[in-house]
Amino acid sequence: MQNDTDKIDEETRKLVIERLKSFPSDKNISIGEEGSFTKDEIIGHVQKNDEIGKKMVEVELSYLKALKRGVFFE
Amino acid sequence: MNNFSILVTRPKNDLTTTYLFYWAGLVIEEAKKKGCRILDLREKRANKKEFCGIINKTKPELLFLNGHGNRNLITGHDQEILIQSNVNEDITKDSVVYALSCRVAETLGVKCVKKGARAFIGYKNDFIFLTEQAFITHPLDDQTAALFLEPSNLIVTSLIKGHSAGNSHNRSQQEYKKSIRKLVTSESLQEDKSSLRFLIWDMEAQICLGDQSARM
Repeated sequence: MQNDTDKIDEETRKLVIERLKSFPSDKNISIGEEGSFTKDEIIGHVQKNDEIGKKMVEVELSYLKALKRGVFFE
Repeated sequence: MNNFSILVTRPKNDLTTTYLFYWAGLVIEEAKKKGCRILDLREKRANKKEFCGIINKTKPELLFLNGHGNRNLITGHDQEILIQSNVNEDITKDSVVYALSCRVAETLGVKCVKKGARAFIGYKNDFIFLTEQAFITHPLDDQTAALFLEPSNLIVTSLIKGHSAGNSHNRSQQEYKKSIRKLVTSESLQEDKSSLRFLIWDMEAQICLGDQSARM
């Protein structure tokens, strides 16, 4: 069961990284006191699965859920 | 003309607080035009001694707090703690608070309301925004950051105009939706659409606690 969860987490991270690859290189992401990050830095955090990386995964999953809910038409 | 006081904290220690510093400056200009008394704790003045001293002396009706934070505290210059759960949240008593800071609405905001803040508008999760590298030395020209900081500023400018806390929060939510629709429906570049996930994140994180009808 744990292996299945790990596999899903790994797949989710890969999905998020692929989506972040289309992020513009001339913009930074400011995340409170964590700092300001370029696309490559953020992708690095997701790969490392550290707190910032986990936050980005959370943002991305939240976005996908909002899309499913039809947030643009609310 | 208004005759109430607004206390603004706006440290400027890093890129994030520098952006908040300049964008809060726009609200200050608007408030001055409306006749509000501004207590501007900028940069080094955003320290606990001045913050508490001025509040105890002048009892400002509105606190506009910009800075880093977490669920239990909000900071000022050099991340000095200004308000902390179970320490001094009662300093917000009788004020309406807008905190542009990560997560503070989750716990600190709830405790402020329990200790007598009339209303507390803030974010129950991290406030995330995008900046353009070309504009880091002149944040007010950064149209990407504007997508995030205009809906934020609208909370305070709405309060100044006499809207209630709940209505000011709703107006900000509508402004977020306007930013989102602009990106979705316009011919904006795919690159600009990268802001969408964070705009939705911030919009959903923003909450208004306490008396929704509280107004200046």
